[in-house]
Amino acid sequence: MRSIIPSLTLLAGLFIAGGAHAQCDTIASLCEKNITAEYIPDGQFYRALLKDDETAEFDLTLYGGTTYRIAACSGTSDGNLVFSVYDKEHNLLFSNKDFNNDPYWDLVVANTLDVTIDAVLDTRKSSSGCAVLLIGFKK
Amino acid sequence: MTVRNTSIWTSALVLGLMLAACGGGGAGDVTGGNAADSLNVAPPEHTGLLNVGGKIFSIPSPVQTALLIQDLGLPYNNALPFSTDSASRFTSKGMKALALGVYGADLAYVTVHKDGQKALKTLKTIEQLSSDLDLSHAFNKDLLDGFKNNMNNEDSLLRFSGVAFRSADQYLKMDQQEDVSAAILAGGWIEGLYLTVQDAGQKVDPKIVKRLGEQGHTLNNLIALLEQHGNDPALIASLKDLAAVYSAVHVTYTFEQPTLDAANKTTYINSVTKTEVAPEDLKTIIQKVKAIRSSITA
Repeated sequence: MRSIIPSLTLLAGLFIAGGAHAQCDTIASLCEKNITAEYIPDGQFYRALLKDDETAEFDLTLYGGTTYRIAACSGTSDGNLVFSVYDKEHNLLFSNKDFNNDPYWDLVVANTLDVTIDAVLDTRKSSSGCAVLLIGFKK
Repeated sequence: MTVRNTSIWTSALVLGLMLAACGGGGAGDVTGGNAADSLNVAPPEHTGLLNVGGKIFSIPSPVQTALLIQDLGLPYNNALPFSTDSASRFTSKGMKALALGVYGADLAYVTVHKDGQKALKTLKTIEQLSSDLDLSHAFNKDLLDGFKNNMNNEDSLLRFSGVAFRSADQYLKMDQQEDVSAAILAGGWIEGLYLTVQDAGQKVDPKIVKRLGEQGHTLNNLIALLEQHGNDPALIASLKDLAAVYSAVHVTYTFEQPTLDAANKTTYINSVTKTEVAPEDLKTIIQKVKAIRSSITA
């Protein structure tokens, strides 16, 4: 029996990890719908496994003269993820927290700038989960 | 329950998570562009699945560079993209991944210039490389058919391409092949810059100078990404060499209050960035970009 228990626990570990992968894939499929046909996906998939008040920090450059759509999702319903966009001086440029954690928002960028996007779970709705961020752009 | 038993269970659970996080289907070490493939077993704190709270780097899409070239009205040069007949020279997983990025940028370049024949050839080469990298689900027959059926719709083609590369990136990251993902991004970024500067003569368009100057942050992100995932040290060294030139590029940033249009879910970012690149630094950047591209495609 003693030798069986660790084996079962090993399988449980595999199952949990596999579940996290599947969770991210499911959320990505749902989140893709926010990058609508007029936007060109940037070709990348961003995700992090979060729990409690942990923050995932996405570091990117936004080019001037471009409209970006940022979609941020966690769970199978909208509004579980708070995302905030800061410039390199940590001035807040936008947060969906002010808009019921809206799952997407457009940023019209006049001049190229480096930003970070912080994503954190809304702990009132979820205490852990996969956070997915997708980016599209148009001319 | 004894402490010992707890320890065994915990060890088994951690081992299980680590095994799963390492992926079962082909985590490949992209270390060394010419090195043979080998298993890359990352410690748990470096696996994507457990990458909690860490920095996640984004590299701008090469499609945006192709669109800039188009906007500037630079003449189309069909000799610039890398030959689609040369894909067989890439033998290791790392080289194939870099090449996939290169051809992805080329695909955007020929697409925005409406060179349908070259676009299809490039896409077929991408399909072959992606098959070698177990990414056939992303670059499949449906994509080729979709491309053929939308040859006159540039936006649709770019979107098809973007969706396919994102799907490939998703698979690679979920399969813990972040090194392959990073190599594809590196290939695309370098090729995008190469296409921008290749025809640059003595007088470079100021918008190209500006775009080149704006690459410093992305370059640092790319280096961090490649280092994070143990990619080719030679490539990283050449990128660091390029980054050293960027330290002389003068960038000034002035924050301006954004304008909100809540009804349209839009924020206008009004901050101003000014970039100044000295002529000698510009020349060096262009030379180094060309040299790095040559080292990838050699």
